[in-house]
Amino acid sequence: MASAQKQAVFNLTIIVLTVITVFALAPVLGFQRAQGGLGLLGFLGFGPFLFRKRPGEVLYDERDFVIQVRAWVAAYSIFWVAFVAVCVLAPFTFGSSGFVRVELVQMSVWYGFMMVWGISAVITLIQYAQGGIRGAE
Amino acid sequence: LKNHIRRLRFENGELTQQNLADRVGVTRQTIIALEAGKYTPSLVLAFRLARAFGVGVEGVFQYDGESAEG
Repeated sequence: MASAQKQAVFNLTIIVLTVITVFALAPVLGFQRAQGGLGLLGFLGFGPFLFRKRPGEVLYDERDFVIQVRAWVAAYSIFWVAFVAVCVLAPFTFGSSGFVRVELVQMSVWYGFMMVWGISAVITLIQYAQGGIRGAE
Repeated sequence: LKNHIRRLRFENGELTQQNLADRVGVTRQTIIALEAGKYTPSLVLAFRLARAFGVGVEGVFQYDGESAEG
């Protein structure tokens, strides 16, 4: 398994655990307080330390780079489409002169972050599962 | 883009995929993907591979697309 692949699995695991934690805490603490579980996302920062390079070892090369670039571009593109869709559809939920709670705006940042990292990890894994990428021929 | 990496590995003292990967500075997974025709390398990597086998780039890779002269 390639290093970038291991890191994608790690990131996806952290994201899934975070979502499970938030939804498990919600009935106990209430949905608002359960958002504290989002702090688990901080473990994403440990990824680069867990998959460090040993001397003389190649862990990451041009193919991994291309796979990662495609995964991030796809993740941000999907996020952008979802963001525009939410903005366009918001009046149908909140009314054209309605209000959105500040908490909701703050939460959306974290869920957007999870969405981008999660999609990027999934697309990375899909590309590796397909055996690689064809590149520009 | 076809390549002769697998054949060249065996003609060069039965080089393992890992040995070749170490020589050209990529991961073994990339050599596997190249041999399976699932990855098209950059020009730099193509030259490194050719140099590792002591042949020209056209000795390793073969372009089967339409002729530019059409």
